[in-house]
Amino acid sequence: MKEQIDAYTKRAIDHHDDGATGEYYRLLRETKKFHTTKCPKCEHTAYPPRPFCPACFHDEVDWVDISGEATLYAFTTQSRALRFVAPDVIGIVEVPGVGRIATKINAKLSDLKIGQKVRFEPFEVSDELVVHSYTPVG
Amino acid sequence: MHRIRCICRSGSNRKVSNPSEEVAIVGIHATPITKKRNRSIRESFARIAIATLKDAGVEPKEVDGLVTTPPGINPDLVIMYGAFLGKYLGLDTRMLQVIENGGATSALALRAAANEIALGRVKRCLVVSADERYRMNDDMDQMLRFGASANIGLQGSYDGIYVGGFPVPIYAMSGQRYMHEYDVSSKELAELVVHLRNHASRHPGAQFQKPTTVEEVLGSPIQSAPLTLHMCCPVSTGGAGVLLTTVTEAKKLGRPFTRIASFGGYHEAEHFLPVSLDRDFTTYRSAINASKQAYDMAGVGPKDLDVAEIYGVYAPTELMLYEDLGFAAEKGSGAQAVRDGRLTHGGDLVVNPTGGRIAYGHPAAATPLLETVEIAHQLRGTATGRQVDGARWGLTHAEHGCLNGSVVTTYEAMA
Ligand SMILES: [Zn+2]
Repeated sequence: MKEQIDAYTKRAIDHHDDGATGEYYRLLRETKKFHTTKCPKCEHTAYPPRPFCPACFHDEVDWVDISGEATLYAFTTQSRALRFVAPDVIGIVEVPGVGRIATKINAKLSDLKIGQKVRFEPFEVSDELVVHSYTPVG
Repeated sequence: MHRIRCICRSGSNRKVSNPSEEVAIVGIHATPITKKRNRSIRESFARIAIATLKDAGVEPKEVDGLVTTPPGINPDLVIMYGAFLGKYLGLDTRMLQVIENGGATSALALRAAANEIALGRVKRCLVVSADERYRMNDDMDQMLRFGASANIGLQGSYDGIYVGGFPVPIYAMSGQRYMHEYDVSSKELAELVVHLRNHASRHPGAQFQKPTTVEEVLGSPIQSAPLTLHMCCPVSTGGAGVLLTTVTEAKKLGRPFTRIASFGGYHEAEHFLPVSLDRDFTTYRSAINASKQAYDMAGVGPKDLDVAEIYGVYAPTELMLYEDLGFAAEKGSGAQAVRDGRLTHGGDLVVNPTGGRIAYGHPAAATPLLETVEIAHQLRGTATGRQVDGARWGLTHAEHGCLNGSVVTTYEAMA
């Protein structure tokens, strides 16, 4: 079942690739770092990454590494865990200068607190797919 | 309706139609809300259309506009649904549209129809919406494919990896922030559900007509912490229809009707998740901005309202909306307003007399039109068993995403 889900996920990501998606997942897979796009004209950092700037519509972007520390803004579990093993803890983390990002949290729900520091960690869903996740610091 | 005067100063004698008609609701129908469907979605659309025209006392041949919404979440290819429905119903029209935008779907369908009436392009416009949730549990492969790819189709190739196609966890985190920032307890959320179930017990079409208790709500299974099952809207099937004409035409019918007084809208550049650091997850600026426009254009405020139907799909969301739409004094005071009896019969205004999305039920695409039907019942005095005495002004609210977009409509009773 996992193989099927992984295959369908890969297919959906490829199908919806806008030019930025493929590069985003390649960078995660090959560098194990979390990158997104930044506008060279107005300096707006966008997440999710885009092949253009959603702040000024400039049509070229640079890739920047945003791996590092973030702050836990909210968290919960999903009863309908599909891709990750239940209990599937997800959260929203504040990445400085970027935004609030939905991610997987590598911890038990009962150990988490709003406002605590978390750190980026690559999570290997399969050989082909690496995604971002966050782990509490300390 | 905001009146736009057409002033022709060109000096020519060309006749220009005056695009300033006021819009009236003269026919309404709502199906009972149920978990599972009891007829095909196509038949539902037809039965709703028939009942709506019957309520208006209008013949099919008099209808010259049709606005519909897509036929629910469906395993089949569905395109050109408007044309299909027009043929199925046997209606020739001057205007035919299908409108879709998540939870705001049928609010935007009503708005599109009202615009056409206001502009004088159509005389009698039927708006019909029904929703059902297709179940694919018996087809494992299809379920896996849908589960894996629909998230990415719906939430994007990034967030879709983490968040299921069902938005419960997103609303749960919004609720967690609300409870954290304003010191709101689980018990207060449960008290809201008890209050809404009491409202629903007065509505014969509601999905949950049995009252509940705080203990029962808190004891129901956790869906996504802090939300328990009974704090969430159910999966529902149902639909509604509305027939619009001009106020001038409506007056000829010689019975009470409802005037659509204004529309307000706001759609922020966010979808489900709070990505911008400057966006608040506990103050819904779409609801604030859309309601402000609707209030300003109608020339009324929240204190003038007698009744409202709002899109509170989870208990914390409903409380936040009381605050953002102006029904509760300040942020964090939604639960207090419920406890004080200000939002029920005998209070300041009655909010969600049907029981709202949590107790009345929530066939999402059709929900805004079901809200409109309830307000029209209240304003013409036909909300049997739950009538708000002397109701004159009403409001409906609909949203999409996690309150990323809102549509607010105001209504006035006309004799
Ligand atoms: Zn830019």
